Amino acid sequence: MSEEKNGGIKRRDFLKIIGVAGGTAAVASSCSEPVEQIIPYVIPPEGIIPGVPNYYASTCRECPAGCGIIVKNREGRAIKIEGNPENPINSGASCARGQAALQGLYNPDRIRSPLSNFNAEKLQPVGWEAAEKTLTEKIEEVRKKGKTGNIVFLSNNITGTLGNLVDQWMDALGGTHIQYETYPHEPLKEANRISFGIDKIPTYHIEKTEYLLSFGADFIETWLSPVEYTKQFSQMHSVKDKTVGRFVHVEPRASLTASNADEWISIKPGTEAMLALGIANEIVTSGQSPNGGGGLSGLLSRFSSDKVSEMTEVPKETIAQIAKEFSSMQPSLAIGGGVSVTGTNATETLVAINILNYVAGNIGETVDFGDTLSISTADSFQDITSLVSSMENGDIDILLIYDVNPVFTLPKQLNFKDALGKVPFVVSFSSFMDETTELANLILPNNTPIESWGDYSPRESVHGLIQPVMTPVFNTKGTGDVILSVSGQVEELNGKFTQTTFYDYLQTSWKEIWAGAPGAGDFDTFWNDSLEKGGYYKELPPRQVSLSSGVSSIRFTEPEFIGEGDFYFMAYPSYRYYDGRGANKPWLQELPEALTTGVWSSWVEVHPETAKKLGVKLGDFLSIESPQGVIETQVYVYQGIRPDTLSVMIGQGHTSYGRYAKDRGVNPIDILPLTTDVKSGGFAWLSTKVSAAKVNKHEQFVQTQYTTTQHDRDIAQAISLTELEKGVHHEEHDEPDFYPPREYHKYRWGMAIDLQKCVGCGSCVTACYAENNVAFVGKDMVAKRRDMAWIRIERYFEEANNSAGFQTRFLPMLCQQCGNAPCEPVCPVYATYHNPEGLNGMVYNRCVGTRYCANNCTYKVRKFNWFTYKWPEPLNWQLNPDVTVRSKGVMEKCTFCVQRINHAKDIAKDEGRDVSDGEFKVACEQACPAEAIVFGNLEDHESKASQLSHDDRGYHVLAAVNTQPGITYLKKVTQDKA
Amino acid sequence: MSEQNTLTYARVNDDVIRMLDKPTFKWWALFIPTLFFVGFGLFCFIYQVYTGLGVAGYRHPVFWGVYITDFVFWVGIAHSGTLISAILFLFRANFRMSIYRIAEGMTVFAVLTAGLFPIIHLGRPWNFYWLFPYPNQRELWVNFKSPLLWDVFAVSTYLTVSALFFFIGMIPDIAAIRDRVTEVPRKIIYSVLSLGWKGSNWEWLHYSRAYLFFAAFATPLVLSVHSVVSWDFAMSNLPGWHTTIFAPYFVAGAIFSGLGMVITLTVPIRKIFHLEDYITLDNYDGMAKLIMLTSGIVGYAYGIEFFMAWYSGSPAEWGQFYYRATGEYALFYWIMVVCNVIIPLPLWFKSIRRNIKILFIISIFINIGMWFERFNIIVLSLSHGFDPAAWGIYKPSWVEVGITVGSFAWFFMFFLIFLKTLPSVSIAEMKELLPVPRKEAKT
Amino acid sequence: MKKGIKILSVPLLSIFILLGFYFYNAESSDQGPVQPIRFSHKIHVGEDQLPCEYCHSFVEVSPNPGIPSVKKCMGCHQHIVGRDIDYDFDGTTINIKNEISKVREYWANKEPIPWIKVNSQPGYLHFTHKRHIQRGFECAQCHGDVASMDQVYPAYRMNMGFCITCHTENAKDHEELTHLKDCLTCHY
Repeated sequence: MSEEKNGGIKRRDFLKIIGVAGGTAAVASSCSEPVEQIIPYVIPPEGIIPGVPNYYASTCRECPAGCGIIVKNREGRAIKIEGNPENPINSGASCARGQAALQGLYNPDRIRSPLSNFNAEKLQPVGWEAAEKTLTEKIEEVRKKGKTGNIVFLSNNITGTLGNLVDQWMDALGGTHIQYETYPHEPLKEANRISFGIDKIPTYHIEKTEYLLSFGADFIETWLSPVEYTKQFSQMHSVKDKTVGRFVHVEPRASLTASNADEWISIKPGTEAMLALGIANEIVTSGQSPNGGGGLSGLLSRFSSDKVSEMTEVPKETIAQIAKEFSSMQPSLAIGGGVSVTGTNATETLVAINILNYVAGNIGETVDFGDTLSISTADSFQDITSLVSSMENGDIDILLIYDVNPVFTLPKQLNFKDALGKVPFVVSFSSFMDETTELANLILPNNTPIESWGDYSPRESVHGLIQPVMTPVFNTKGTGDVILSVSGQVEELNGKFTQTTFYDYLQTSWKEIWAGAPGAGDFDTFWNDSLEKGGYYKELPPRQVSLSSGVSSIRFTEPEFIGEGDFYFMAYPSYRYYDGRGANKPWLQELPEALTTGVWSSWVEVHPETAKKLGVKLGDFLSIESPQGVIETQVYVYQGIRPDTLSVMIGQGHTSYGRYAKDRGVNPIDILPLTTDVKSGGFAWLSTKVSAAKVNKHEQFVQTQYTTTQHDRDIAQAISLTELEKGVHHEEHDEPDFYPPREYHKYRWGMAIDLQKCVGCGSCVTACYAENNVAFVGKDMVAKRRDMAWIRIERYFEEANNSAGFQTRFLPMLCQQCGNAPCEPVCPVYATYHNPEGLNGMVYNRCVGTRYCANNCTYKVRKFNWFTYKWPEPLNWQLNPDVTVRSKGVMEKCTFCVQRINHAKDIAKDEGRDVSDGEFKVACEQACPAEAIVFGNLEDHESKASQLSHDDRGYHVLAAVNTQPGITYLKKVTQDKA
Repeated sequence: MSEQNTLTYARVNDDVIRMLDKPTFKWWALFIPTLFFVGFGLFCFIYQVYTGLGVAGYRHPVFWGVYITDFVFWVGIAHSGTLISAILFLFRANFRMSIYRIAEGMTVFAVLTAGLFPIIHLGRPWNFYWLFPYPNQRELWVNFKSPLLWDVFAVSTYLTVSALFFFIGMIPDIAAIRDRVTEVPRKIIYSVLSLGWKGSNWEWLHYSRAYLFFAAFATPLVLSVHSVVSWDFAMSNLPGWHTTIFAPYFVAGAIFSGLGMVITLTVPIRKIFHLEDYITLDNYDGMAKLIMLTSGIVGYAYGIEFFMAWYSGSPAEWGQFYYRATGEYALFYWIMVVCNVIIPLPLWFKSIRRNIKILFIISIFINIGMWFERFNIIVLSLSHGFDPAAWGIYKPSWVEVGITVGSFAWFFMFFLIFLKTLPSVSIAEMKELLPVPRKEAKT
Repeated sequence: MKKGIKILSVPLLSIFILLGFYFYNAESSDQGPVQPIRFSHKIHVGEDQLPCEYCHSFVEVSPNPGIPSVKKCMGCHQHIVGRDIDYDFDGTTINIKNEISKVREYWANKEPIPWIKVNSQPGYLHFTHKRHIQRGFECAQCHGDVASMDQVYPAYRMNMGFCITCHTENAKDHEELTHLKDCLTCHY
């Protein structure tokens, strides 16, 4: 039947899966409910108990970092993703993108069955047999011609088994496998080759450092492994017996990472190398280098701080100060990368940074070449350009595209799109109709990682396993299986692969890993153990490296910029959309960008002075013109950017890729010139100067916070390091109260949030959306301030006496679960009330919607259901059955994940004990990579939460209102002395 | 002097009952559009219930807007009625005689209108009855700590009492009409309503007692009801709401706006039905003086709010009031100040107080000003609370406008019906002002 | 005047009659829904003495008791074909063999049986069977004497009063009572 053919959701199958779970019903309105059916299993799946969740360890593939995840499964549906504590990379945490992977799985715009335009005008649904047959025929056709090297498999950097399979397959077919990454960090590789003779990307140990100096490395957002490095950073930067690590960030723009730095140094774009060498020189000349400059003093002497200061526009004192701190606050570490240093002289810059690390004696200490990242193995930008040219010459007969979207992520000037048109047969394995896939002749939709077997090895020490958590939502098929079954059909490949399913192939290849694993027992134990832990992790000894002599001979050049405009143009990767792949997920679209709090669109950041010059203000439109083209986007006036620089986030501006991504914002990559880093040949991101002009158009800049300062409300408080050392007396204020104090026995749920740790990444926000069925409402509704987020990241720009002149403070604001809650007494029907365990209960079904509670809420954390919000099929499959889905007319707010509390108490009751500290985590706490949020029982004075809430830095927001919140915030630490 | 322009018992009856003649074209011309707008308001409400409150302009953090503004506005209007009829009765202020009936009618209808809004503004209006304490299997009770619940009682009590007072006062007059009308349906209805009033001394004795008691009973309500309404705000902790001045401030404001509305209504009626001899300039002069007083009180409140905000030293408080005068809504704030404090100033001149036209115009401005006062108190406070991250601007939607217009229409609908069915000037009490008719001595 | 009353009486009367019907229907609804298969609990529980947990096997470990899979049905009905006799199923005569053959049909087509839910609770209520069974309650206390029902029907009107009364009566001590009467225990 047609439904089968176009692969519509096979409702019945779904019901077979969900068994008796009613799923989540909406708050019943006055009208009566229709007849409910209960659909039992035909054959009950092993180990699934309806109503009891199962957890499966797997690996996240939303970016190359490859964090370990644990997917929660209820009645056969994946409903929540959380970090895998076993995994050494993210050890339990996750980022917003990882959380949102579910909305990739359940995306309503997924390709629901194979499509082919074979003897048809446009793409049409076909069965899998037919689709595979088409591919087989095409391959044989090409093979018949006897030519070689004209089948190309273009994929992202798929390390691990699938990668090997593709390699073997391509070898057998005489084709080539090109691994394309949007941000392959080639200069980093090349720089390490030049400096240490290793063309690899090491792992860093930020947590071990006292002093971190970053040249444009946005490690909190996208750089290499954001979750891991955020975690390490928060360890290094948090308060340990009254001291904190120091972090200085060098970038033309105050990115989210820079906003978390103690010092943001705004530098002239492309001159980071000079600064690094200047600092190194300073260290050596002032005799602070442990290895006396290691024979580089000659090279360095050319970079006197006067000269450097003049070139970089960084004051001399700053250079001297950094030099002093960098060498004195040991161990220290300088890292570099990110688009801001990826100009035409990127490699040189990174070599300079290596030199700086070397003279400060950091190599081997905080940089570890023993365990290198597999992104090193991605193919170079040259390979891509040469591929495109051979496509243009019509040398490519079949192009198979897997999990990349080059039409979107490559600069227009490269003409990938046109070149694609010259390829007679294009196959896409994408599960989404993105810009590249819509040009394909045959689409074989791949399962999402949540539906398929696989593995991924982000670094030498980690082999992450990917296991199917649920049966495919649509009529899709794992690419590995497709390759195997097609190979089975191609004559000359008969017998090439003994395995018929990718699962077998995977196990076979894991036998090798098993062989290499000491004392792993027999394979099945090893396999099951790995499945349980989410993969196989091994310890690798750090590798000692030494600076190669080649360094001293290297020439440090000025960066080149294409275009005559007066502004440097920075297209920076978004921590919400990465290279654009996140844009089709409503959670990420609705997650406010930390600094602008902007949502659902893109914008250009303009310095106030520049804005005055251009005569634009917030919300006006600016046309940005480079030699390669023009983009038009909204202005956000931001003091955290150089007056001579404009920056636009990458990820929006899709012309396809589903309803949530399409026609939203602009894609800055379109106007980037095709320039490369001279030494590594990698793509130079920051290499154009643009001109900007006001366009006669204005729109409301849709954001979730319209203020930038605290208006003396002292909401996000800070304490200076000196004060901290002096030790502040924490007054246990016990004000006289008309009412007797509340009595709690056993439990009083509370929370402590450390503002020194919080980096504002927003993963807690997305985690909350996922856990609590919080509705996403879309741009128009957010414009009306009707976003439903239960937890918001408030960001304030505070005046500060640092070189930037301001300091950014983030404060996660959620229901404070007040002990003396203003919302409670005003509700006429007790729909909100104080529960014996200190929670502000919110009973949706009792709520009549007077909204008085929200009016009286001091923190304005209550959200009202203005409408009954809808989750388009199958996004609603993700809804958490343990949480009521709210309908129109009721109030809602953070519940401290009461469903998790109740679950934990349920378990405890089974075992006849009380809930112990840290036994369970609430969603936001669980996701937080910085470990800023700690939830626990305040009645248990041993609990971490209750310890922290009596910390010296502890305070209650707006304590004067005497709401007696259950959440204690720990003041941020400002470093008043160098 | 001719029979025409001196008032006699007979003429009072004639004049008042003449008002109850068959509706003229003019009346219908007013009544039909009124019905239309009521219908439109109803449509808006149904649409809102069906789609969700989102069709109104509400947003975080402004959870209350035009509806509550209307509620407070109408409750305010409702006040002067009882004030004029009860309090002034106790004070034996004779200028009330002619207008108190209209004022009372106005009260009842205004409360009827006000009572709608707490339900209209609910997120789930179909559950409104949960606000009443009634035994149920759920063993759930209402929260007597909540000012909203006090509202429920305050408003319902006020409606009951003012309605009864309205009716009691009318009994003799209805009897008078009963004696005049002949055609069947009206005869029956009026006979029933007159409760068999004969007008015997014995009846008059008890009647006047009862009336006195009711007056005494209604008087405290005038103060209590609007105090309770003001506590909807004062009991919260929101800057701009959390202040002790609210009760007197609101009561004064209520009387102020109520008198404004009385003038707005009586002036045209006086003209149309030629009641110049009943509603005299002295009556207006008296009301104008009360307006002067209450306007002064309101003006003082505006001032002292600012002072206290500054004096409190709380950034939130001061921020709120600074925002009112200078923020996005500054225009509304100054409209309020001008309409309620500046424009009534001319009333200090007797000539103005006795100039019906100017009085009428001023009264209109007072109505506008008082509506905005409520809007400012509610919306501005909400949009600019403690946490700057949650500040936001509210704009009413067409649905809210529709329902507001509908509420005015609803009010006037009742009023028009009242004019044509019940004596809008108290026959009995007018007569009290007149010399008792006696036979001429024969010569 | 009489005329007036006449005019009024017609609509009034009809309203009363309609209301009467409404309440009549409301009361007469404990027949239980007609299921795709006339499955008799009376036979299975009453005559064959199957324990409830045999089919609703998750009742002790999960919030929801579970509905037996078709496989489970076939576990017995592989062998038990059923007597080819008529049976009075709540007044409707059915042939046992036919009904059982329906099960085999579903099994043959590998299709689930679309049972209709008898006792259901709204989504804003999170009831857990596990807790109540572990506390030692009998199924019958809420579901009535299923053993005597051919077609299962709601034995009790399971509204909030039903829960609260039971919670109040059975609370061990005051602490437990506060817990059992706390909204968040069931509504979240």
